[in-house]
Amino acid sequence: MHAQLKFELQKLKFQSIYRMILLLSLLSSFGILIRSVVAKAPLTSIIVTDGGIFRIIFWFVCGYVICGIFSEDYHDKTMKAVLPLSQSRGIYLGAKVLIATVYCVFAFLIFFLTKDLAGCLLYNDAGVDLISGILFPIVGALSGIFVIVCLAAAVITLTENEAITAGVVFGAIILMMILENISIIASFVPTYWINSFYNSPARTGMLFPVSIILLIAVFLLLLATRVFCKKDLYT
Amino acid sequence: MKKIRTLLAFEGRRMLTSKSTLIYVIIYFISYIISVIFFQLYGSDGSVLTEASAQSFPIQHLQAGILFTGTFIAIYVAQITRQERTQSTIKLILLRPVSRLQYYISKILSIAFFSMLLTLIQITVGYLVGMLFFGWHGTLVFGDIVTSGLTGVGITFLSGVAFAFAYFAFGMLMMLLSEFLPRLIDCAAVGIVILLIGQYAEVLPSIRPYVLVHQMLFFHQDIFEMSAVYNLRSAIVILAYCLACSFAGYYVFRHEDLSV
Repeated sequence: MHAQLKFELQKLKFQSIYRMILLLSLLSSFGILIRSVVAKAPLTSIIVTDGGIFRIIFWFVCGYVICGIFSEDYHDKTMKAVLPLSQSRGIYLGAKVLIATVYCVFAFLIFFLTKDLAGCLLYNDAGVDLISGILFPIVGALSGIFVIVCLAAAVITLTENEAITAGVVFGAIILMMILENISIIASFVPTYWINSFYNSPARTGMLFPVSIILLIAVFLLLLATRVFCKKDLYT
Repeated sequence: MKKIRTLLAFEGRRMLTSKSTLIYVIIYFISYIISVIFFQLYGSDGSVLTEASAQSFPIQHLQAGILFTGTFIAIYVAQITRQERTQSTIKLILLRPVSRLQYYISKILSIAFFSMLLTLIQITVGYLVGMLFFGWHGTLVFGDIVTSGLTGVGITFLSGVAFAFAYFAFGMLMMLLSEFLPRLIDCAAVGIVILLIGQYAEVLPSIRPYVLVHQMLFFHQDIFEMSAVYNLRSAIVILAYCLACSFAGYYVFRHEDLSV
């Protein structure tokens, strides 16, 4: 696992696009702060008005990163060369899941924490609650990202087709964005968990549906691993 | 011409029988079901649907599908351009007595057919979902137009042609950009970025008629509501995008080293 993770990390390190995404997260965060200063509006109200569009962009970036990480070996036809690096195929897929999830969460953290920490320094009234203001949204982002990662892993393993994977992942993200507008079910949509985990009463009622969605995601991942371990990838 | 027809027939078969096309049908179907739920919950104020009838359903949903349709076109363009290069199948085609111009024209025509196919899928799925939940009812309401019967179906398909034309221009733009992007997923991401940023042109009335995303959103609606001069200008703008991107794309493709 360690060797495979190191290899995946090296790939991220050498591909400039992944550095650019992190830089973009940082710039977006500062963009919100600058807009708050220029508009002379409290940081929280700017986050409410502008946060929506950044959240949409964030999920599309996640879709791009996840599809990129999962489909690159199919795209470059390097699967046969990469597989012997891992002890097992399960480890190969596990490393991909881990690296895609961690990278997306890291990009989210850069955006989220920079904005809040710099906001605390700029405004005295911008103090945030560590648990409900920071920890729960991070857990929400992590869970949402994990669902998309599992979906991508299942689709690429079952179809071995980059175009279908991109279509399903981006299609699912757009569908979830639409579903967020139905207030009754918005809290249960994985792309909205960043926001809905923030609200503590809703959170308690969400435990069951969120668990069900996460279980489905884990089932998809297990299915993907099972199929991937038995697949003839040498043709 | 025969060679272009052969290449096109192959692309057409691949397009119609591919799993991705089926996935797109399913995604449109789910999104239309969600739209029905919206209508049931919030009525016409909270939904893109203003009239609960199968006759009105597809035409009223064309505009709402911009992100889906744009993304699927970007993916398709990348599939027929970038994937052929990374999988080296382009060499097999160009080893035959097919010129790069013939090959490129066949790809342009494939994108045109795909734009029409996606529009047809949207209209068909729209009629199907509309029939399932609301019944035919017969009245088409679209902007200021209120009509019924075959005229309504004709208006829906005419609007669909205008819609496909604007998305074909977007496909041409993506084809040009795909020459510079290494992976399929990069093309899809760039397509989404263009669609998201392009919508901000709506706040600039002076430039928005010249922005492709504006035409993708409104051309199929404007042909019934705006003056002939306005529509002619819009059609010229879309055509200009098609021609400029096709020529620039072909220029890049012609000078590209495909032998390595």
